[in-house]
Amino acid sequence: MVGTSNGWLNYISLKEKDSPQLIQKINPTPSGKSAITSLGFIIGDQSLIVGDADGNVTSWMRVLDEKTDYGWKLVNPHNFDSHNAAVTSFAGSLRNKSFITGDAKGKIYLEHLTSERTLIELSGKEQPVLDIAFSPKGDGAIVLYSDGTIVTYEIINPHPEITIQTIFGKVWYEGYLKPEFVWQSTGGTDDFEPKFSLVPLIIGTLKGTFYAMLFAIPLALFGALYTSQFSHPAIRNYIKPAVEVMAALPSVVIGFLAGLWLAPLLERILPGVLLMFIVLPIIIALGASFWTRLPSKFKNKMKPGYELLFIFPLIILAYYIAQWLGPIFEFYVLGGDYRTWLMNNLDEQYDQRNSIVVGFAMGFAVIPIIFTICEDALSSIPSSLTSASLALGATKWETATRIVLPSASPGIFSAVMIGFGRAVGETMIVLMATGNTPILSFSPFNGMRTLSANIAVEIPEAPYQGTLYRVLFLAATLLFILTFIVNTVAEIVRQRLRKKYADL
Amino acid sequence: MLRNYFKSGEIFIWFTGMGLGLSLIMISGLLLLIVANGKDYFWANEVVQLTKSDGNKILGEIVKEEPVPKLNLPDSLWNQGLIRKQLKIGNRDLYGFDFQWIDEREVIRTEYPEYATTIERMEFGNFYGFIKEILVDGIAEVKGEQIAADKIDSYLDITSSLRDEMKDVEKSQIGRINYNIENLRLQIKKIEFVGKNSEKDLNKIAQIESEIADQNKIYETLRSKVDSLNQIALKYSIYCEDVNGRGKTIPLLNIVRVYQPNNMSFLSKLGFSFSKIREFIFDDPRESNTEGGIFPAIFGTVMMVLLMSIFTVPFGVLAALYLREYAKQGPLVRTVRIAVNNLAGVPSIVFGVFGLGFFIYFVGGTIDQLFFPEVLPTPTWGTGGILWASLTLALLTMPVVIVATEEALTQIPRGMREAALALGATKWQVVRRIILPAATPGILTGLILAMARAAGEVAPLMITGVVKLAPSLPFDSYFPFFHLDRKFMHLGFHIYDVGFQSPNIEAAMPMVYTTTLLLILIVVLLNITAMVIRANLRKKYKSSTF
Repeated sequence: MVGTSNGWLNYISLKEKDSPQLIQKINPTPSGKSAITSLGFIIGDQSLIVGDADGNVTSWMRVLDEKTDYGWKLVNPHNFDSHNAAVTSFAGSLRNKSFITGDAKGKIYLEHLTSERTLIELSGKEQPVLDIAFSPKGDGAIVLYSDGTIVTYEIINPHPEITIQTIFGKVWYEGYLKPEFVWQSTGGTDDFEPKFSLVPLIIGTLKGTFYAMLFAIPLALFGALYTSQFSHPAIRNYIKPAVEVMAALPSVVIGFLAGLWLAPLLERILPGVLLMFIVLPIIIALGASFWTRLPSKFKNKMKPGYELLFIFPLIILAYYIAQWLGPIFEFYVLGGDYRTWLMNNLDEQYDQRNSIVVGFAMGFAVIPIIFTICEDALSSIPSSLTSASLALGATKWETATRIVLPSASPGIFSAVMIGFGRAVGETMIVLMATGNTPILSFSPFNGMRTLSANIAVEIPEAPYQGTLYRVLFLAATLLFILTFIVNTVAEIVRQRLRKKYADL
Repeated sequence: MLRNYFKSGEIFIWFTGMGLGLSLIMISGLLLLIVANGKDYFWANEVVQLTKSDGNKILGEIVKEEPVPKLNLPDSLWNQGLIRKQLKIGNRDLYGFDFQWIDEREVIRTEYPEYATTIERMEFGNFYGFIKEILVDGIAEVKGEQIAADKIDSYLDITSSLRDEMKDVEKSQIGRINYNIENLRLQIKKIEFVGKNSEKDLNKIAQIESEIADQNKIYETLRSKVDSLNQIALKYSIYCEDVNGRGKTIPLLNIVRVYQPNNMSFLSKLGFSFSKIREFIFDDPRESNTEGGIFPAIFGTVMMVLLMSIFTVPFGVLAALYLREYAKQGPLVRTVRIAVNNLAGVPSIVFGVFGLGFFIYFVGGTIDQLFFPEVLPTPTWGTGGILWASLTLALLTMPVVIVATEEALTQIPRGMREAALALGATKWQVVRRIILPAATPGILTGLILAMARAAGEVAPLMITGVVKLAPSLPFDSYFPFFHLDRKFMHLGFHIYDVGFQSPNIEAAMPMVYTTTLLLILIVVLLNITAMVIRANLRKKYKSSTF
């Protein structure tokens, strides 16, 4: 790299020592003409800091580009605060991506490459800075002024890489083609730069929660509606303890089964399981219409509210039909193997531990919570309301949907909110049932890493009061705030509802 | 007709029933799955010998059967329902792996040889094969499969009693000496830390050092005793062959148990199961937690839960009493109540992070600086431990206790309080003599639910003091007996650790399922107890309304 006094930066390859080859010639300064007065590499030798006579400081690095002859080109990922005077000297930290620049008017800036932050702005002496050096630990600097004086500074610079932008925004890291959201807290080499974007983790959290709720809400809501409105009291007495047992299952158990039993099983029978969502309603509908057509002689033998006894065998039947149809569907429609089909047609890689598995497992964990609160809300509707509706000639179903559901809707809302809060913070299930890959992807066939699992994985290794430790605390705070808001809203709604029906 | 059909909503009722049915099927299926897989660990499974078409034989337990994956098959065969079996073939030291898939099509003969033997070893997992000779000092004393099978137990008794003796010396006597030496070293460190370097100090250090030397001498004699016992035990060994005739000599000291499952009656299998259950509950883990027992994990879980109860019950009950009996009901109390409910919804990992930051680094770190500065930077209290884990879980379960207690307090009929007050009792007397006794079952329910929650919680424990293998229990015979700063093992974490972080997951699966079964049993039993108490309570107040 050679900078010239007329504002050019030459990128020269010395691969063949005798015949240097010019690869690229660029104009790194904003004005295009000012002389380049300072050049230097940041630790890792990937980023070049360029200072010019106008005081502008920019960073340049090479990225892969197949269009150029050499295969690389220089890009300008970061710009820094201007000195307004010729940049005369540069020193890079040996610890992190911080650097110091000094100018002709004696001003000294301590800046950080990736976060583009100006950490300190010092105006020492009113003299040009001749040279600067960083101490090896990065906790001090020594500055030589043009009058021959030497000044030492102590630097306290604990978390230079953190800004709102580096945590929540796209950041252009060294070696990347463009700005991206990246979480990568540790690496193999000394010049590795930790990347702390919480965005992939937040997206992962929301994605896992979304699939869990997609599975849990209908089941829990339907179940609660059936239990409170249609089922026979004798059956109800068995349902509630069963659901309580379901709620008591430790999440580590669900997570272990999801990761080691369900994930491999699902990989084998996924088409059949997905077909189940079509086959099951059809079978149930057929069963119901068959039932209504039965002569009333048989029908009257069964008390209302015992449909559940017939639904169990129907579900098992539907499962076997779906499992039988699954391979056939896969063979004729998807051409043999669904994973190949996904790869070829949707460009999706199928991970064994993916969002579908998490959806099932975490949904399973949330169902009892939503169910219990929903059921509470639905049963607390005063019987005077339902009796009045039935007396006016409405059917049971009409009463349930037009009277009970609307009246209990705040309760259902709060049930969903509390379920959401539980799914957002669930740790063990996602830790075990996802691949824990912090990659930004919306595909249901990919894994994810959530905020909570990330904390569990990384905090035992995080040095006390270090940057990672604090970022993980920030993640925990985010989780806390999110669940706090959701739960408070749900709780207020629920108390209002309770008060309303206490008067009736 | 169709309109009526939809209007009556029968079909929709069935749909809602479907939601409930699916949930119930899932929960019962899950429990069945765990029970079915968990019980295998205790059963003496038969050993099968398969002869493949190329003449090779395979001996082992059948673990799993499943359809052959389609990708391994030509298209013409994929719908024929071909089955493959997974065998646990053991002998990791001979083969390098202990599980093998075998395709049904390759098998030409299936047998159950009478003297096929399963040998559970201290390392390298099970050995499946045939005992040919029993050796003492390298000389075959017993020859032949049948006689060896009869005699092996008496030889095993000799080595196991030797092993017990060695363990006793190692654990209690050598352990005591190590403990003494450690204490003496700490004394030296303390003197050096205070650092006056006076004559008196130096003398004292010299004195302690001579004491250490004495202890070391005792240690040496004990060590040599163990070594000689070991020498005797190592004389006994067996010579076995695997199914294809490869020989292997195994010292009896390395053998946990030997059995011939194909040759066992139902009753002896039952006896075998009992001995396995005993081992599972009372023994220490072996082979990086995948074999043996889980006693330290059970002990750690129970102790942590009890410690937690000590913290959570008084605070929870007092808080509920104040909220319900003393505080003026108003916006403030309502806010507190919402906050308590909110606390129940905060993710457990957040509690864990709080425990780490507050209890461990802040409180523990401060204690270390004040009371144990001589050992820093090695932390004493400033690292995860059972006390910090219990405190974290106490915070986590506090809302459960508060809510249950409050519920119990509201159920106590107004008449009871008024009658007591009318008889001249003070407020405190009413609370102490009337309300608290009446609310006890409710409080108990809350406590049991809190215990169940704590027993199953893992995420916060992972960062506040649970480890995969704790060298010593948090309770032992050394003063002050309870070592609340120690790290501990936990059933839930055991599941996670063995299932996801062990090098040989396939071999660890039975252990994971069995631990899961135990954990679920504990948690479900606790919950059912709570349910029963609550149901009785409701009945009681229903009948005794004024």
